[in-house]
Amino acid sequence: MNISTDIGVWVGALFAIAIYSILYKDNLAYSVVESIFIGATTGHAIVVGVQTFKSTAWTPLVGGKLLFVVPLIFGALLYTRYFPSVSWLNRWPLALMMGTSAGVAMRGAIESQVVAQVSATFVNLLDINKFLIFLGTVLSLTYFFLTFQIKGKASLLPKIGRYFMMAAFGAAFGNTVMGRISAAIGRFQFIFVKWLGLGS
Amino acid sequence: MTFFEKVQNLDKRVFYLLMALAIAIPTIRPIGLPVTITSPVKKTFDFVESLPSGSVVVIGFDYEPGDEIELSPQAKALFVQLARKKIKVVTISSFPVGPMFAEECLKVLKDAGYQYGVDYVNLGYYAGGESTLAAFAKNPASIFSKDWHGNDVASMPIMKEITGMKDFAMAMTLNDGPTGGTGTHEWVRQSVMAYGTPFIIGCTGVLAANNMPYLDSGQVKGVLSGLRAAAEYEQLVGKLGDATRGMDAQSIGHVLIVAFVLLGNLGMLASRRRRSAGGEKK
Repeated sequence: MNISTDIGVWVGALFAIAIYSILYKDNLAYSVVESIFIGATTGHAIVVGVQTFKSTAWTPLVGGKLLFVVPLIFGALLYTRYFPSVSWLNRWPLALMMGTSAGVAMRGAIESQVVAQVSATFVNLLDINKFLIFLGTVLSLTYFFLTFQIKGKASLLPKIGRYFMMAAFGAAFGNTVMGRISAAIGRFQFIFVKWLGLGS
Repeated sequence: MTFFEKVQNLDKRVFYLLMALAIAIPTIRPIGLPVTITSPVKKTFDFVESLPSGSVVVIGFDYEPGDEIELSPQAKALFVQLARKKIKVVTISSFPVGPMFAEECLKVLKDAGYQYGVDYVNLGYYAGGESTLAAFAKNPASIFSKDWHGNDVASMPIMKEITGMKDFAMAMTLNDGPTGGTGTHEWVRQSVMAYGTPFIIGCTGVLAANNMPYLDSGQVKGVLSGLRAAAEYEQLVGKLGDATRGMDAQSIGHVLIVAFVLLGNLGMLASRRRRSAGGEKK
């Protein structure tokens, strides 16, 4: 056992234990650490935000790139929403941001998320795995075929499609569980290995 | 009340305690359960292995502290392989805390003798998500005039080789989702679709189902998902670390959850049978 002498590790470990104490019941230590965490995260985000503002806008502007005054003005207009009489001005930068984002995303969205994905389902159907992907895709789509009611023996198709989707949701849930346990493993490694020096 | 019915009414704190023990014991005393190499991880490893020595790759550290345990081990294992191949690394981040994780993981390259500014650089945080990534892909200098440490980017030898995304031999994101940062879909659009740059996804386990279709369709060269993929990669590069240690706890934790799911369902069935039997008597 080789306990850490790093004050930062001690603070991190004690804070982690305080956060986990909520699992027993709500308590003062949890509330204090939760508030500190939110405050520290907010403070860090503000500092990084100011640094980003300086490096990407202010420094080039004072360095002679006068066009940078345009995005600066648009950025400032976002805050007009706090002043009702001129709040309509914040729509201009918002519209610009939404339009730019949509335009940038559209560049490859259709190809990457529709065409290529659909193409990938039409593959060598003699491969059992690929055949299952093809079958699962088609049958899952029949579940959402709402133009008219599928009756008779054909109604089995959307039902099987539903089972395919349930299998997919189950896989997604399994991965979610794995992710949550991983988060706990990370903290436990920090507490037992890095802080207490056990099992290292 | 039968045993199964009692399990249904178990105080949840008992479950928390058992889960804590299931994670703590193998963390302190690793068992060394085997981890087999899966196809997506092998594909990723093989692709990185095929990159020419001396080429430059860009890696996005697009995650926050909650997902560090899944994604930092992936980065560290990958950096071991990149260092062996003498591949240069540029890191960027769409989260304010991302550059700190990059800095931690880049120690692998520093320990391998890499020189800052020549062989690797941590450019830091960028705001604006996909729009800014698109601008970076077109001209990195337009987004980063200074690196994370405040150094002038234009004067760095590594950045003189890069004029845009097309100059990178590979792009990769270590990603915990699009909320607040640049997601994997955005990366695919701005690297693969816009410039044809080979792309690899490193994501949390939660995002695995979302990103596997990109591998099946051939749009990306590899996908690493969660702690398990990091453990597999550690085995492939022959340097075991936090992920391999964590897999014992991961496996035992899963066994516990499966056991409780089974017990809970058996309890539910027992309760239903008891209720229906009671109803019949009436």
